[in-house]
Amino acid sequence: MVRFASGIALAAVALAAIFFLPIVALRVVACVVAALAAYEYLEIVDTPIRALVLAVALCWVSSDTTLPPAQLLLMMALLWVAAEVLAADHSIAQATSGVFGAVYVGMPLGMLVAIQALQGWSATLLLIGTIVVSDSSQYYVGRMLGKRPLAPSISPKKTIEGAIGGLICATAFMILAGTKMLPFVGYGPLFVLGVLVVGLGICGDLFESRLKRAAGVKDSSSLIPGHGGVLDRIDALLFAVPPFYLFVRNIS
Amino acid sequence: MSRDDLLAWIPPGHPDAALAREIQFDRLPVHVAVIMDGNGRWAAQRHLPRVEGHRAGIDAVRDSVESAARLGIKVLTLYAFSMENWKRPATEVGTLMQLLKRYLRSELETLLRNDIRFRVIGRMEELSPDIQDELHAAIQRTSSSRGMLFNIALNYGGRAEIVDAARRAMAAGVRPEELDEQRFASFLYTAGQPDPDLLIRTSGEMRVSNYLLWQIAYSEIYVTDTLWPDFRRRHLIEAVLAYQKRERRYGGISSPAVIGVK
Repeated sequence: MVRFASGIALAAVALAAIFFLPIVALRVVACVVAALAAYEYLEIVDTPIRALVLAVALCWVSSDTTLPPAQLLLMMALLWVAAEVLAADHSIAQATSGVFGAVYVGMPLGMLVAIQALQGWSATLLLIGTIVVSDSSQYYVGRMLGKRPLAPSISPKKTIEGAIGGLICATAFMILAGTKMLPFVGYGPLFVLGVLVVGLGICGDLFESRLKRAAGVKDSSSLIPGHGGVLDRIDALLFAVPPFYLFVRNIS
Repeated sequence: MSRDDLLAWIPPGHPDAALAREIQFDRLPVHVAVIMDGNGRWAAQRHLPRVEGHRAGIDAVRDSVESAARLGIKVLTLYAFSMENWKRPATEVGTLMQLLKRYLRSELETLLRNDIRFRVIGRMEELSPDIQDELHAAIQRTSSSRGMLFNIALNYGGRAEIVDAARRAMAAGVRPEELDEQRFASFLYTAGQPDPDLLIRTSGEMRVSNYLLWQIAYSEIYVTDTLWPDFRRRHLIEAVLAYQKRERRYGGISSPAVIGVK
């Protein structure tokens, strides 16, 4: 019940933000979410919290539709790692995992706002809707038909049947809703996009489970009652955004 | 709006002022319809991608809308996107839609300031929901304007409009013997609006391209070689002047010239 209520509240807040906030405000919201998610990530991987600024910075930059050159960002990452290793005497593994937090959390959240800036809320809702359909159809199909585990060592509850169910239902959703939301995009591209978004979404889900398993925690935090942390809620989205973003950029 | 209003808007000494003085303001076309063609060609001439042509076309839209309103034209209908345009690459259509959105956002104040009422003709319900939202907002915000009516044809097809009108007439339960031209016209997207007196097509093509097929029955057609992104106030005035030199007969014969009397 708590899970249900907070789920509804979360969906309402997200929808209101997508419909009513101007792009600048959405960019700020994305940066706040990126900060929360990066905080959870850095706690899990036991890395100094200051790498959070990297995630927020990359989120802000990625949400701009006129991207700065990638080389500039990579150069900053290089300098960050060098400073962490040389000045703060951290291990290279620890220093690079701080940089990875920005790529993992900051970049996709920024791209999500850029999607809206480029093609309006029709595109944003199409992507988020596909992820929601994918998550829930995986859950229900898995519960009804699930037999063989998908990745027993990472996430014991996920099944191959659930993943296939999610792939079919959410790709169908992407094609059907896509012809309404982005009427100028053909069935072929929508199909490819659907498969990519769902497939990568499942990877994102497993990836986050693996992160938590390595650290021995169940939820990334307890920020959202009944749902765990911010990272638990957006894990699939983080992996699904980049291909959709590249597509939207291409048609804008 | 009037001659003085138009002249007050044109900077003194500007060549357009002399042209504007030639206009007979008592014989203005009431409704001007435009086929905005040549954005792609304009871009190709400059070795730019097609979308840059559409971007440049926005400036021509801005200039024409304000010029038409100042001139005292009552209805202006621009052909922005036909139902056949969906066949273009997704990149081009996606950009066009976002350009439309940006135009509406940036020009709403200008439309309101010039007392222009904004309307859409075409199958609007087939556009992206966020574009529809934007259009509805613009229609709503300008609904109390009393000046020029500015129609934009989006996802528009002349034949589709006639089919839609026939469907609406049938749905309204019109009996065959009740249906005449006037009644039928009241089911078109342009119900209540006068038919175009002048149809302008840019970029030299001599085609109607499924535009306002019913409404242009007696329109004077003016084709200019100017590409749409280059179309400005001067070209609109030139079109109006050319229109005023025409003799409109609506299928009748011209009144015989009386020699010696002026």
